[in-house]
Amino acid sequence: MSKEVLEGLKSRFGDRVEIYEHNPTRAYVTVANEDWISVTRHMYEEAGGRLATASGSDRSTGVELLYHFPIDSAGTVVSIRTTLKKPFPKIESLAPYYPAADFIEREIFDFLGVEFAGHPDPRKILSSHDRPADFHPMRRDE
Amino acid sequence: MSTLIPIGPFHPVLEEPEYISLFVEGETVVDADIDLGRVHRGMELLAQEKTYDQDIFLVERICGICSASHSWAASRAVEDIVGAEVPARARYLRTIVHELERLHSHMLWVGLGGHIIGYWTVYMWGWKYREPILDALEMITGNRNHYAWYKPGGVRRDVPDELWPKILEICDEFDANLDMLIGAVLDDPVIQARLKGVGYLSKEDAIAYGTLGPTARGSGYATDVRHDEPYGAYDEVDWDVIVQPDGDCLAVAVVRLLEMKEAVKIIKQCIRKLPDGPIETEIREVPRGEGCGHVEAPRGEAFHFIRSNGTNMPERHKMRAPTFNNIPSFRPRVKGETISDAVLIFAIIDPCYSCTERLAILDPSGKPLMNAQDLLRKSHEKTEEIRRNS
Amino acid sequence: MGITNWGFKKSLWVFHLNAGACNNCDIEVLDCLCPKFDVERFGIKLVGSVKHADVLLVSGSCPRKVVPQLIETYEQAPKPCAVVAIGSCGCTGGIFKDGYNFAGPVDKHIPVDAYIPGCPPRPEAIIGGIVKLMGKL
Repeated sequence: MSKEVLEGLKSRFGDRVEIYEHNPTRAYVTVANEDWISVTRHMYEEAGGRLATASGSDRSTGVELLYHFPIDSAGTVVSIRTTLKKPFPKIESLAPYYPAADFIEREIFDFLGVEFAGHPDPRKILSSHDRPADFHPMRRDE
Repeated sequence: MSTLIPIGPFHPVLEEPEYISLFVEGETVVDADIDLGRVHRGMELLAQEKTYDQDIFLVERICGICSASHSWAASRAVEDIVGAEVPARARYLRTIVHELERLHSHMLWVGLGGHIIGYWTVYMWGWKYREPILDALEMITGNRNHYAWYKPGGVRRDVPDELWPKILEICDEFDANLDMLIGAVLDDPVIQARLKGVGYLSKEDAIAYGTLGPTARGSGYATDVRHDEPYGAYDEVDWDVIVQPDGDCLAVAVVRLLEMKEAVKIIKQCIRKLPDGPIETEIREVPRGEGCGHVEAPRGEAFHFIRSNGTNMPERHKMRAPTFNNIPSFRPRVKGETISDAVLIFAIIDPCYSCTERLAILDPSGKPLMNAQDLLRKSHEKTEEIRRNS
Repeated sequence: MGITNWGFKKSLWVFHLNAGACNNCDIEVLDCLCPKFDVERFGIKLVGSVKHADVLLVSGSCPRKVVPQLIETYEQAPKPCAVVAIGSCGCTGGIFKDGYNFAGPVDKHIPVDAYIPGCPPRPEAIIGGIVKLMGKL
């Protein structure tokens, strides 16, 4: 159940996290860009979460990052969300603290052009080498 | 001064085309890199142009071996958005097919593992014994793979009662063959020598790299979605999560072998306890919202995230196969190991993109090129040498 | 019949390559070689290097990144070499043909002699397809 994890987030971050509980085992937490790294680090280092994957999408509000953290001991998935400004979305990388984020962030860079500051290996990961450097297929720019 | 050995993209043993580069000094691997993308088909963008029903057919084809897992995970994601409760009979049926898939997938891996270390009999046995499982899957769903059987809300077709005795018979026969295979594999000193102590991944590294499935459980990291967030019938039958502490290739192999025994146990219990009732709960429309669905595929957690905008097509469908999270663990595993073990260490994660890459040594000092055959031969030579010295 | 054709009809050496397939066709191809279907009794065997191949069996819908290697592999195969496109993906691109990364199908880049459709084609269909190919050769 998400309860304990969400209570932990609330006591640690107070108003800086906006929590939406979809059901007892699924919650979505919205944070501002500046709190991104402390909240995602908390999920891994203190809340017992593991980064399963990240869904990035280009939405009307900007490029949204959604990091999905299943917490195995609680049988729940808590997803952390933030929105980055276009045209050059940029955020601090989680990879130096959590190696699992390495490939996951490279994929987001590849498809959405998000720059992850501090990423140890910021290369594209899936796109063909003959595509231009600014080719990010999931972006909806005009 | 390290030499670069590219492995791939078309390798005779492994099935998928990815490009692994090994940096070697002499015979020892000092680093590794992998170039993905040759199986990248743009499914997430395709999914946005398909209805939810069509999407499941698309998602099945992420991987030919764990197609049930991906279609179940995607169905769970839709059910999560809607808040649908899947009826008991459907949950049990889904579990049976899921475990049958685990059986044929792990047995396939046993065969490939045997081939890599030069045990062609193990290869042939493994693939021969998985055929009846494919027959069982065909009896239930209509196809050996790509079942088109899971759907949001339940399953598409019911299974007539008269099929179950035959399927139980297949499971019993498989169990007997499995016992023989486990005995043969674990008792063999040469196989032990090839796998023991090779490709070590510590539990801390397994957690830090976010590894999943048998790759993680072989290092003592007990992550298993069936246990952590039970779905299907997993909390209504008796079974154990298989974890091995040693972290080497042998430990991961043992996890897969013992998981097959557990899978047979689960299937038999599900068939015995199979409840009557409807096989689906109808989902007429998907409201706005987001849902996450994950299941324990044979290789680890398959994770799907769907965002719905209220239409009959998903606005965003994120699909993540377990191998994507397991591949980074290849690097710490292979550093310090020999070239002859490199192919085996990569195969231990049971890559769901098989890397059929040709091994070639790009040596700046002009040493002759080594191809895939040579690298496989090196692996077989190592086995021969161990046999001679034992 | 010429000596090459006679040679072909006795034993076909097959090199299999996966050009972006989900693996299912590849597994069914390997199934043909395993005890239940056992095509080796017909002299058909899988070889580890395309330089020994009489037949190039290609599965997959050819995502962009794989095309250069596909062409290079075909060029390395000693001619005559028959090419078989296997599976819906190999034949037409299948469910992936509208994908943004789709750069196939196989016959867009290399000449194809036989098509074995299916998703995946059953081992019986694969064997049937190869037998038809042998007739054509």
